[in-house]
Amino acid sequence: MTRCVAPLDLDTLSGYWAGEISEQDSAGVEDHVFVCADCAERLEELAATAHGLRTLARQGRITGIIPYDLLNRLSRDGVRDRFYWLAPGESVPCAAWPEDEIFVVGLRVDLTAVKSVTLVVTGPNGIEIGRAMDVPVAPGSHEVLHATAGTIVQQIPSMRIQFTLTDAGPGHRLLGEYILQHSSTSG
Amino acid sequence: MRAEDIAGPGDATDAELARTIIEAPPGSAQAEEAELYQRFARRVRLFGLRHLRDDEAARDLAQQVMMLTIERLREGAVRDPNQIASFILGASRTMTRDLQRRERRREALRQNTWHAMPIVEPSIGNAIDLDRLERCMRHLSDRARAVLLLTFYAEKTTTEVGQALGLAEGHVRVIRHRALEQLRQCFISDKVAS
Repeated sequence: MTRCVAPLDLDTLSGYWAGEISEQDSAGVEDHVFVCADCAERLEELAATAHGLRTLARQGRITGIIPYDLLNRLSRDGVRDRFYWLAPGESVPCAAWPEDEIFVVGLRVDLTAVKSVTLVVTGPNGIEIGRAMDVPVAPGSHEVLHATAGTIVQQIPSMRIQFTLTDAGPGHRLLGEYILQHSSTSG
Repeated sequence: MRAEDIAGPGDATDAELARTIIEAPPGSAQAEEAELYQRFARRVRLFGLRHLRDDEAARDLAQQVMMLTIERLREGAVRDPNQIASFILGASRTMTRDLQRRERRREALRQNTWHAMPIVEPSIGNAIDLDRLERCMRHLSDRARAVLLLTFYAEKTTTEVGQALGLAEGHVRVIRHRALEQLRQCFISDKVAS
């Protein structure tokens, strides 16, 4: 087998796979990959990961804070979502049904001068069930979207779930608290 | 001397395989042809996936390119076996351009009748363990997860990912690079643990 003498770095391979490098650089990657079994294998691994990510997304198997562009793409791909909007201080009853592939909570918030946020999700008695640290937000946005795979939400028993959003910058200013009164539909 | 006489086609270099196919009576170096197919069909399919973004079209491309390559080798039309990789890449580029220009040709490519060889179709993507990937994704930070999904699922450029997340392009690249490495490490340790 032909062995690699100058392996392509992961950044180059991912840039190539994402279609982000110039045609000339892409041609260079291809020239190398076609003579190098090791790099071909690494590129194949990357392609498999990319394929896996797309498959997980199309099945709604995403959990955490997501940007709008991702939500739009999920909608375009026909991923069935259950969506709840909450304003700061609001308490909303909710449920997830078997047909829901992804469960999304839209937290309305004033993000003026906020660069990143921390979101803490707590269950009964303040027990922490999720945390997203220092998540960047797009300038000028007015909401934070939090997604959970439908299969996970469908297993959650009836409970009160609180979302606490703070500015991840100095001072950790409280931006909002939101409550979901979750009702189990699993019987 | 045939490559398989030395240590088996699996140990032969790409050039040795090509040379053996050229020198053998047409169609008689089946082990070498199968080995060459195994090695390069995966790469051609990757190339096809990257340029055509369609698994079926990429699979067709791989089969067509390898069929052409082996036919040319049998005919002695590949002058320098040391340049076999370059020949296959060139064929891949030409055929991809044709495919991109004329989508209709895909059907004709599918109808190709090529003799059966002991071939295991290269599987890309199907090979990944989704449950394991999902577990590993949960270990990533939200921003890293978002960068990967925006890049490889939503097909956003680095600039667009940066705009969506309020990050500089350079930072997006660093996050993506680290996230992929983290996933890779997680896959390895998760595999060992299970």
